[in-house]
Amino acid sequence: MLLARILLLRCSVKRFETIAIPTWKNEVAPRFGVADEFTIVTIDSNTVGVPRMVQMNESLCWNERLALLREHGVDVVVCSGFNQRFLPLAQSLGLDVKCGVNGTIEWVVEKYQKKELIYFQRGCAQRRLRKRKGGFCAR
Amino acid sequence: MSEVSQLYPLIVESIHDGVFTVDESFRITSFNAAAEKIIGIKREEAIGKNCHEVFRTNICQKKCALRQTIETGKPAGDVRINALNAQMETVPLEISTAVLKDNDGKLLGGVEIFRDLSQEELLRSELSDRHMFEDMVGRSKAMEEIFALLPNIADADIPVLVRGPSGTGKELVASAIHNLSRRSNKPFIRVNCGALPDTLLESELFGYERGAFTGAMTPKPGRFAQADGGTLFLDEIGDISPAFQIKLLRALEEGEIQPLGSTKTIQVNVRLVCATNRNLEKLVDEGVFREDLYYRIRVVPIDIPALKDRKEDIPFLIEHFTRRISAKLGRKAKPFSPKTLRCLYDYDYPGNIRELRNILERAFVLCKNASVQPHSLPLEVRLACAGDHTTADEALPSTASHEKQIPTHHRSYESASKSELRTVLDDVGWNREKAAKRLQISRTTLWRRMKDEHLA
Repeated sequence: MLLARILLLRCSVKRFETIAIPTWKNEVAPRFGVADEFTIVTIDSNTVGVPRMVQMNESLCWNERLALLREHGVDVVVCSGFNQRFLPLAQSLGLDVKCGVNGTIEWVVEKYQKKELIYFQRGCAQRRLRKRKGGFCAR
Repeated sequence: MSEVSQLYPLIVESIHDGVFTVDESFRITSFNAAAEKIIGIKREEAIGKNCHEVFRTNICQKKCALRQTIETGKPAGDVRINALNAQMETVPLEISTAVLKDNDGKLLGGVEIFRDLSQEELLRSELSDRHMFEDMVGRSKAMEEIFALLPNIADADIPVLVRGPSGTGKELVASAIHNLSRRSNKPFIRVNCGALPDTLLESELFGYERGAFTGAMTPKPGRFAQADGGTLFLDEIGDISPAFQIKLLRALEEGEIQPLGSTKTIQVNVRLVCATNRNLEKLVDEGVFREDLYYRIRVVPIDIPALKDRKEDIPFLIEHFTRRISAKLGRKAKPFSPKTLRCLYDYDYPGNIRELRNILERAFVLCKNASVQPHSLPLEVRLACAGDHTTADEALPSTASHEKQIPTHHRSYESASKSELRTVLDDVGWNREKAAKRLQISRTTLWRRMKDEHLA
């Protein structure tokens, strides 16, 4: 009973997600660590919020970049290249990182909303999955 | 001639350097075997994609060498960049680019040749570690500021006070100052002032003559005299008594010392570097530390932040210590599981870098798996992690395996949850005897618990 109530509470509290996509020429930027522009969008299962752009100084170090995104209420970073060394840092700041994504921003947002994006993950199973689905990019 | 040109694809395939070509819109048109190996992406996956989607280099966005070559027609050579491989790990590369044209001079695209510099970079970092800043590792702003400051400070030949919590590497800063200074070919002498009582400290620093005290059979030069021409590092300077502070101040101001039992003074030329983890300003206010000595030693203060305030240094420190520890233990370095890394990030390290190093050393010794798992970490680290991201279930079972001295271990495993049971069973390869031993329950009880939890 208690578990059901907790689940219900969680569902009622967390209905939307704010994602940040490093952006370059209206596409996903190749590297999170050097991207100077981020598109931030709030998404739920039915609607996509108005995207806003956040400029980021190139010289900002990793923890500053991640902390700034957290300040903007970002829950998930969707990007192409993300140095795996910094993944635990992102996780410790409460950010979920989905990497290995390429394509235009609109396409990525649409696919993210439909939960159709395929992300990079370490491990054989994921490698097999990538191979089956045609590489990093589901495009 | 045509036979030779037929060999070109074979030559490109057999060389150790990565080679790829792109068309005018930067889509990859060919990708050789070495490129596959260096980047870790199959040719079939790479061909047809934009080159920035495959290489993800630090120059893709703004200073793409290939783009500049195609736009200007000028080849580029020996450009050092870094890319991300298929495992999203940084690979340092040296690239050369050129334009591809057909026989009529029509632009077809560009070609890039790249060489993996990982081994070279590894060697370079090892060398620079040893000769420049010894074991000091850090990419945080605070540490970069210190690194930038050190050569100037070292050159100035003035007293330095290194402040920071215990375990932050104050001695390494002092050592780096000495190594970078003009005194680097002279001795670097360390003295821990906190470890010695006043009388011993005086004889240790200033030396003594024969017969100065009972047992002084032969004269002994002090640390000041040993450090002549070089650097004297006084650690825990905040712990010396007010009486000894006066003697030290006199030695520093006059540049001469008088060994115990001697009537002569000796001139010494010493650069002083002091360190403390105590708040000297407060000690001065309280009258415990002499103000004149404080200003004498604090010509240039360097503040080293605690590790919890520069967590972005943790990955570099982990890498650095992993290399050192694996070399020391003569074992191949094991990777850390993502959960373990998360625990290492979340922990606050009251013992700072020294504690991190000890935690990693312990993890290496205890780790029996292919990768270092959270149960190889001390309980307090696992609990710090458990508070935020993982469940206590993940932190507790291994308590039984490695933390027998910790009282929390005496918790009844009769009440172990299903996930705890499963974790322990997974750890021991579902060997019930070993699992029962680890949980400190009998095999029958374990069997009953497994049946209750539908694990049998």
